Amino acid sequence: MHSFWYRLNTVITISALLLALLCSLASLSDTLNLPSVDAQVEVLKVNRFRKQLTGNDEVTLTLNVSADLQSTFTWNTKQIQTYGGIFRHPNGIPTIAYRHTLQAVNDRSELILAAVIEGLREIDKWKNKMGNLAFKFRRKVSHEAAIYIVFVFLAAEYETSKNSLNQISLWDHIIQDKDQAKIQKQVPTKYPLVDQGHNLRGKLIKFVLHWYIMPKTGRTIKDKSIVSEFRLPEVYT
Amino acid sequence: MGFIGDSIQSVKSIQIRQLLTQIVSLGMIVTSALIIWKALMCVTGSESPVVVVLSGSMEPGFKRGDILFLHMSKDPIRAGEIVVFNIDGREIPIVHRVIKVHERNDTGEVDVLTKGDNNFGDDRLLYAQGQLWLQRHHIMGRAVGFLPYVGWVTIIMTEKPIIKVSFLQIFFL
Repeated sequence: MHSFWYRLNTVITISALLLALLCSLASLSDTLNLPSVDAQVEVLKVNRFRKQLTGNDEVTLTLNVSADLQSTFTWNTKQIQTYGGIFRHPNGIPTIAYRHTLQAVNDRSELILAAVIEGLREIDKWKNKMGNLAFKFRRKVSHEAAIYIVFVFLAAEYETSKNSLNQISLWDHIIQDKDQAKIQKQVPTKYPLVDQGHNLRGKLIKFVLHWYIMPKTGRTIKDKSIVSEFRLPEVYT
Repeated sequence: MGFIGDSIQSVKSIQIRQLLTQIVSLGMIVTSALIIWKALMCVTGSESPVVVVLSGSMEPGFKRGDILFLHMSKDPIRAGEIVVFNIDGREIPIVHRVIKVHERNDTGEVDVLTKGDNNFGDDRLLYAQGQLWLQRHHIMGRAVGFLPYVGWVTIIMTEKPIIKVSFLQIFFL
């Protein structure tokens, strides 16, 4: 009855249960934290405002973003390892898959990582093309640091006659450390504001700052605050 | 003779009992896993309530081997949410963040564009040929909860079948 496997089973079951309980408690404790976020956004410059060949309006802006998200960090906010990795294939690989990786090797580790992901996407495409060819990769860890995660992004929201809501992310940022949670930046829009149609001339748009807190475990928390409004110019540049 | 026969019988009966207990407990494990799975399906309203992250495109938020809990509600999809979507003609669902939303006035239909946090560009390259937007029916659910590392179990099991076999053997021993 009380054999080795029986005891092992009991120990594993109980520890898994306790771990699950602790995880849910940690996630619950997040609800006690009520962050107050202070944010301002102003448009410094309209860089480009035109009608694309497809007939859609396109705007790029330069923004001044300032936000203090320090109060969103709790002890359950994700703290993880960041690393740059290089993927190699033991017996030859499609050159496209390698291109990005090789270009970025001399750059900073984040760039390598991004390039690797890009490379993996290419590999994915090749896999689809070449059928069931097995690819195996070796990941080489080259850089480690502890980081926290809060994903913050700025969206433009507006109404048109066709759409009751248009929500377009203009800029985003991953905050990896509580010390970096105070943002004061002049940024060009990361993604252009492209409308479905040509309704942007003279349109009043709302800037809304959203943030997503990625926990170590448990529920992801999202929140937003409307920071300012801006009227786009009446003419194309 | 009677003594030996008795003891042989008792040994035999014990083995059969043990075997039966093992079969029953294995059945309990399998069925309880099924119950949990189906219950989660009911509660979350999502076809696959739990997914394992397979790629690094959402790093540093989600890593390979992390588990995401999905929820499929009637709530409208909004920018910033992490959604799991299926592209026609692709087997594996993708977990990425919504960066653009256009919601129709009359029908309430949505056009959604996604991007992996760690990718340079948006997902139009990943979508089917000529597809510019995701619609509601592509989306299997949005990520509401997160559990690290646990997904490695399934990744290892699918990638190294030997481990799965030996795991089953341990169960039956």
